[in-house]
Amino acid sequence: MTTLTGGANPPGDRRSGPLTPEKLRTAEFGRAPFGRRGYHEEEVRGFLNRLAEDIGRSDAEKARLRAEIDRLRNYYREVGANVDGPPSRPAPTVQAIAVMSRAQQTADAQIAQAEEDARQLVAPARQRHEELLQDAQHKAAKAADEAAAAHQVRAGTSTEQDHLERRVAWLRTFAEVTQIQLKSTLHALSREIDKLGELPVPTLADGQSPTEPLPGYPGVQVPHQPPGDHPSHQPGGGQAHHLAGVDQSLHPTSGSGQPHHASGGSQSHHAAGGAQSHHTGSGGQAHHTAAGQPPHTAGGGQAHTAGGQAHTAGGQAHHTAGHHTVGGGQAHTAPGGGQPSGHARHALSPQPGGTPRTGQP
Amino acid sequence: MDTAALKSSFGKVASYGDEVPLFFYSYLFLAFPETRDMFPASMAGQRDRLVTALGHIVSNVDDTPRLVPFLQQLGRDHRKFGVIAGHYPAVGEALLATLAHFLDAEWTPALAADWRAAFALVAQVMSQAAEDAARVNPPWWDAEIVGHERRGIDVAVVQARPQTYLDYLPGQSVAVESSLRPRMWRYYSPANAPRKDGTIELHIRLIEGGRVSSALVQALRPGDTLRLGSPVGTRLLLDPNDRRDLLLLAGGTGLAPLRALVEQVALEGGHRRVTLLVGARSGHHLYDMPALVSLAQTHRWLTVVPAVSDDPAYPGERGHLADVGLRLGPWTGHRVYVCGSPVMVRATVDRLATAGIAPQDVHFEDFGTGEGGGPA
Repeated sequence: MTTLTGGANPPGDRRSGPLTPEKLRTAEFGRAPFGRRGYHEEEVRGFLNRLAEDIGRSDAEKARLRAEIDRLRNYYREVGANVDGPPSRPAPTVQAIAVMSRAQQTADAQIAQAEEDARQLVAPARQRHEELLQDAQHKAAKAADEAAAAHQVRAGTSTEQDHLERRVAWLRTFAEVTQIQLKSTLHALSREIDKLGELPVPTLADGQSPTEPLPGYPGVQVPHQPPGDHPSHQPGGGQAHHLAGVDQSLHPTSGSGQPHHASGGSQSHHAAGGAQSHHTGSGGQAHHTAAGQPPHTAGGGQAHTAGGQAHTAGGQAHHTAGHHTVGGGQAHTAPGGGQPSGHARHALSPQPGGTPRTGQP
Repeated sequence: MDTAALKSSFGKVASYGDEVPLFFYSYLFLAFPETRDMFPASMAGQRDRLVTALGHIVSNVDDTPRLVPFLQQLGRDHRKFGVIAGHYPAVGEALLATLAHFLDAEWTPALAADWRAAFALVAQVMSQAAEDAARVNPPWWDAEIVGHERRGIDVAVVQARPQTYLDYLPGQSVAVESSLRPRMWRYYSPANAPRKDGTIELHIRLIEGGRVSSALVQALRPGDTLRLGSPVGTRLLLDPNDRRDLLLLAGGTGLAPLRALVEQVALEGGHRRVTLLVGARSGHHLYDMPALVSLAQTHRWLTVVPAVSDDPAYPGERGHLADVGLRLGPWTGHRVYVCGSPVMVRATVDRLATAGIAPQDVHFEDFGTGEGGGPA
C-alpha cells in the first residue's frame, strides 16, 4: 500500500478540506519503502486525473441544478404556491391503502393465531400443573392425618407401638417420595411452560434469598416471617376472621431434615432439626390449630396449616397458623378435627426439637 | 360549526366498522411513514380504540365540560407514545381523507370545513394539555427493575424504581411498556402507597397467550427498564372527605390497588376499619399472603380474609368472593371496593347489588377504556 507522506497536505487528510479537482491532480504520494511493492505510478496519476474531471463536471452540474431550483422556486412563488414548507406528499391512492390494509389484516391475523396457539399450548399444561399440585396436597394431607391418627392411639402396647412407628415411618417415606417426584415433575413442567413462551427460564441461583419462592411452584413459599409470627386475628363484632399463610401448604423439599432447595447450601431459614410447633395458648381460650383439613407435608417439608374460620360462641377465637417443621427422622402429626379444648392440642413428633412457642394472640 | 352534521356524518362512517380505522391507519402510515413506529405490530386492538375515542369525542362534541377533560387526558396520555404537536396535522389529514372516502358524495365543502374546524379544536386542546403536562412531568418514566419475584406459575411481583419520582394516588394505575414488547402498553396498579424511595410494586399475572404479560412474568429481569406512563384512574381512589370503614374485595392480582389503599389508610393513621377479602382459585394462588399477613399483624384495624373458589379441600373460606363477603357482613356503613378480572368484577358488583348494597357505595374500575396499546 502506498504510504501517504510529507507535504503540507497529504492527499488522504480530511483536515485539508474537501477534495477539489486541483488537489487530486497535484496529489503527491510517498514512495513505498525499499523492497515493498507500490502501485504503477502512471496508472495512479491517470486515475486521479479522471477523478478530477468527474468532480469538476459534477460541480458544474450542481451549479446548474441550483440555478434551476432557484428559477422554479421563483416561478412557484410568483404563482402563489408555498415552496418553503414541507414537501407536499401525494395523497396515497385508494389502491395503495387497500394493499396496506390487507397487509395489516394479514399481520393481525397471524399474530392473533400465534397468541391462540400459545394459549392452547399453555392452558392444558397449566391445568395439569394445577391438578398435580392439588393432588399432592391432598395426598400429603392424608398421609399426615394418618400419621396423626396413628400417634393419637399411643396408649397401646409396645408391639402396637412398634407397629405404629413402623407405619409412621412408612408414611413419612411415602410422603417424601411423593414430594420428590412431584418436585421434579413440577419443575420440569414449569420449565416446559416457560419454554413455550420461547423466553428464558428463570434459574434458581445459589444463595437466593430464602424468602423467595421457588420459580414455578405455585403457593410454595418460605414464610416471610419467623414461625410463630403469624397473626391471629382479633375478631371484631362477633366475627372471627381467620388469617394465615394458607398458601404455604406445600414445600417442595426433598430429603428429611436438610436445608432444602434444589440448589442446596446456603439457606438456613428452615434448617434441619428444629421441629417447632407454634400455637397460641393460654387458659380459657379456644385454640384452633389446623382446623379443618390441614394440608401437610411430611418428611422434611414445612407444612403450614391454617384453620378455617373459627367461631367460638361468645368468646374470642384465637387462630394460629401452625408451623410444623419436621426434623430429621421425626414423624410429625397434627391434630385432627380442630376441636377446641382448653390446652393446646398438638400432637408432636416424639422428640420435638423445639419448644412450642406462643404465638401472638 | 354544525355539530348535528358532524354527528350524523360520523354515524354513517362508523357503520362501516373496522374498514374505517383500517383505511385511516393505512392512509396515515402511507402518507406519514414516520408515525408507524409509534404503534405495535398488531393493530387489531388499536383500531377499536380509535373508533371508540372518536365516537366519544363526536358524541360529546357539544358538551364542552365533558369533552375538554377527556381530550386533555388523551393529550397528556399520548405523550408516552412520543406524540408531539407536529403529529397532529398528519392525523388530521388522515382523518379527513378517511371521512371523505367513506362519505363520498356527502362529503361537501361545508362538512369538510366543519370537520377541519372540529379537528383543529381537538388537536389544540390535546396538544395544549400535553404541553402543560410537559412542564410538570416527563412524557414517561424510565423505571429500573430492582426486584422480580415469581410467585407461582403465573404471577410475578415486580419492584421498579423510576429514575425520577413518580407520584400517584393509591388505587391509580400506570401504563407499562417493556422493551421486550415494544409499543405494547398495559395498565398495572402499584400495590403500594407511594414510598419515600419512589419504588413501586407491580403484580403481574400471566395471561395465557398474552405477549406482554408472559414477557413481564417470564423474561423480565432486575436491571431491565420499564417505561411507565402518567398515573390514571379515579374510580378506586379513597375519598379524603369520607371516613367510613372499608370492605375491599380483591380477585387475583386485583389485589394490587386495594393493597395500596390499605397502605394509604395506614399512612393516614388507620382511622377506619378495613376488611380485605383476597380471592383466588385455590390456596396456592394466594400469592401475596406474607405481605398481607404482615400488614394485618401491624394494624389492628385491618382484617384479611383469604377465600378460595375452586378447591373444596381448602381449609379456609370457600366460595365466590362476593358470597364470602356477604356471609361475613352486613356491611352497612362501609364503602366497598372491588378489583379483579373484568368477569370477577362484574359478577361481584352484580351480587352486591342483588344483596342490597347501594351502588354508589361500590367502587370499581370501568373496563370500557383503559387497555392502551398505542396512540389512538
